[in-house]
Amino acid sequence: MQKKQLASSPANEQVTFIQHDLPGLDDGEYQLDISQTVKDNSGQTISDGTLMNSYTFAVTGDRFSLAKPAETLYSIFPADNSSGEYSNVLPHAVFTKSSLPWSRYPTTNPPVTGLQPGSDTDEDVPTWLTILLFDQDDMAEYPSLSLTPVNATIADLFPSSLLPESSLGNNYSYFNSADSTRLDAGQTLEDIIQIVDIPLDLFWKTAPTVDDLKLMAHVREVSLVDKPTMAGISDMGEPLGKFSIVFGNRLPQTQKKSFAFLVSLEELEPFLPDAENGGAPSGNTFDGSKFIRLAALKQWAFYSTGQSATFVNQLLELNERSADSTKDALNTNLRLPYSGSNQVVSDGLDMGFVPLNEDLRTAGKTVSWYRGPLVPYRIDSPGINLPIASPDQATIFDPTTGMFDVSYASAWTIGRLVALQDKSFSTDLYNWKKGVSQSVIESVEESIITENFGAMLSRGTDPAALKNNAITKPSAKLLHKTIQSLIQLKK
Amino acid sequence: MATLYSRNTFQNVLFDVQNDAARLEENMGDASLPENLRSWINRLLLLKGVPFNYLVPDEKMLPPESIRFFYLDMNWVDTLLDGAFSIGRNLSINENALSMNLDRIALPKSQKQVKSSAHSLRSAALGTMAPASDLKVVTGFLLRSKLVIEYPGLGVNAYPAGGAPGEGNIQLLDILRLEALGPNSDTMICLIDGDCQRIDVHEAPEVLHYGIDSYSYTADSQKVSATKVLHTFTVSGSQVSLSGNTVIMAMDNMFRSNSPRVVKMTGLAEQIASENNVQSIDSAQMGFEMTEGVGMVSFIKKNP
Repeated sequence: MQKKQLASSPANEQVTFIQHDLPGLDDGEYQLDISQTVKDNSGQTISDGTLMNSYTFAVTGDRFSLAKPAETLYSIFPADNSSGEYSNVLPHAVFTKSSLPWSRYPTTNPPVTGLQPGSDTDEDVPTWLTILLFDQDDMAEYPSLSLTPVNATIADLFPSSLLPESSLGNNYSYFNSADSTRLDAGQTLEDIIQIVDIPLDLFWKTAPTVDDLKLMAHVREVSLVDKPTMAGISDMGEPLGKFSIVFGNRLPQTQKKSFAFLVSLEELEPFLPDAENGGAPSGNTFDGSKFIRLAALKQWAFYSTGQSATFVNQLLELNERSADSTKDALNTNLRLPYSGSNQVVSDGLDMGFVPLNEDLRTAGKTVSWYRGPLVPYRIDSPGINLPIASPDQATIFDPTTGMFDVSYASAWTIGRLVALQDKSFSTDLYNWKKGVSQSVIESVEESIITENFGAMLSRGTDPAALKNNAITKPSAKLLHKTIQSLIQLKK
Repeated sequence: MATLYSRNTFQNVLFDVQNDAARLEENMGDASLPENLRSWINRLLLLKGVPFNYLVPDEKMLPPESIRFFYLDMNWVDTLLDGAFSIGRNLSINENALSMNLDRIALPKSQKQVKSSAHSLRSAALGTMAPASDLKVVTGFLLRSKLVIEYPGLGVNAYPAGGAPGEGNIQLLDILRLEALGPNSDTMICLIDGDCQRIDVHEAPEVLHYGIDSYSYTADSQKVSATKVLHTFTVSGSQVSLSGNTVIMAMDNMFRSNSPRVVKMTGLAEQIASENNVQSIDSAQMGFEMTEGVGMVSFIKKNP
């Protein structure tokens, strides 16, 4: 496996492109046979025959649908329902699981054999996932083509000759050469999946060859340090993350709605074109006017316009600015826009304050200023004396407007409410405080004893019971010394 | 002896102690916050759990497709933390209640403890070392845009004045919190430790797409004309290094004749290999040759 590094961003961030990440075991069922014989020095078997046991287990993985799409599928490009300049780009899907594109295979037989689990190879390995892209022109050419998502069950992937209730009829799908309706562990015929029926002729034109598939997925290893915290991705205690990416091979058409399908090509080698120019595979006996039914793990649509909608453009267009403008954005702070002429109000809003209705404790109503913690300018602390015993102590009167500023009072109240809402925190905090105040009382008590019985505490030798204690509380010492003197008195 | 044992003596001393900050602190011992309380307050410090309308009281302050930069008002945050810390405080007008006086000593101590470990949440998630900090100045931004959903891994680099690339020594400010405000939220919050002058928002390298530079198809002659700018590289052993040069590769014959927008991947790979004078390329080399560069936008603070 070769790794390629490419420095990309100004912080000198590294992206590592990796050819593939083969899973230790492909998805499927396995049987583990264990046998043990005990031999002596000369190689003679000395145990009673061979001890044997056999276990079966299964490696399960996504097959005809993604079990947890939100966790597995990290991002798709172009975004669903987006429009923009996509006519020069290839659609793709990024997965959080780096070995997913190689957990199954598009070939009839495993592409890599003899590889020990956990080891890797420099050999090119085809991916079983690809993205097929169709548009309105294809629908015009093939009237039977329907590009809306269809719900079905796994049973519908079997030919009707094998499973009469299947809606497949005598068209093609994954189980054409199957002789039973056996599925992988954990799958049932009733599992809901999404399917797309592609006229075989069209499939031959657009589907990649097995050799193409070797080039259409790879792994990227990137730093997560400047990324948002995302559950299951960048909060795993690892600063590096591995993602796998699968590409389509067709450019979207301009001014047309494009439909992208992330489909499984598992063991569909006989149906895939074998020449890089596409077309029917040589020597096939399939009827090109029938359709092939594919499981769509994800489908989405986008519209390719002439207008650029790249990441950069979208960022430049923030704050009601146009992307090609040379002017700076006008308002980049959290504050309410104001067009009136009242200077006092204008100043207040510019500082980030908002007038809000307030219900007074005395049942009256008034309007007060409120400002959250995210302010337009730097405010140095401390500007307020803490701790306080009531939010009223943090209410500020603004003489210029005759209004109250309840920002800090609200902050204090919401802090208290959030704390009270979390029972385990509030109880723990209360107990900790009780502990602290207990220790103060104890410490005061001890100091009174030290002060008043100093003479007695320092008299004579320490009783044996105290000798091994590093720190002795005066109260304990006093007790021991008193008992010691009483004993001596009795003697 | 009688006076010594009377409860009054004890009460008087105790009263004296609680009214004397120095003596109170002396008698309090270590009193540092236990780990579970510290990390809870830590989350609150980063405004986790504060209802969003307390952060942005009016939607017009953060309309769709906007980015808003801010300073964090530490007084507000301190007050917020005091509110949470006030559990078990005797809320009477008697300023000298023991619980109040204890909090006077304990609050600054624990606030300091919490602030110095402000980085621990993000560092724990990333498995990195938490930088020490006193949280003097915290800045940041709120981004509300489709971008947050469409580009989940977008990267953020924050620089202080004089520390941005091209201004001498590059200094990066540490990010305290950077996350979308929910699973399908279009709003993202970023808190940065330090006064930041410039923020770079860049595309996530793991989601960069494959692209070519031009494509046109003439229906009459059924001819495709397309180009792609390639960064040439050299291979030695398993090391691949970019030469820094680019060539314009014609891709006219890289599309299927019966479906002129479908790329012949293997043919393309062969051509990329021959442009670079190597035998063949694999999917990883294909990956970085076909990937378009990282898009990045810098937001720079200007003083009016």
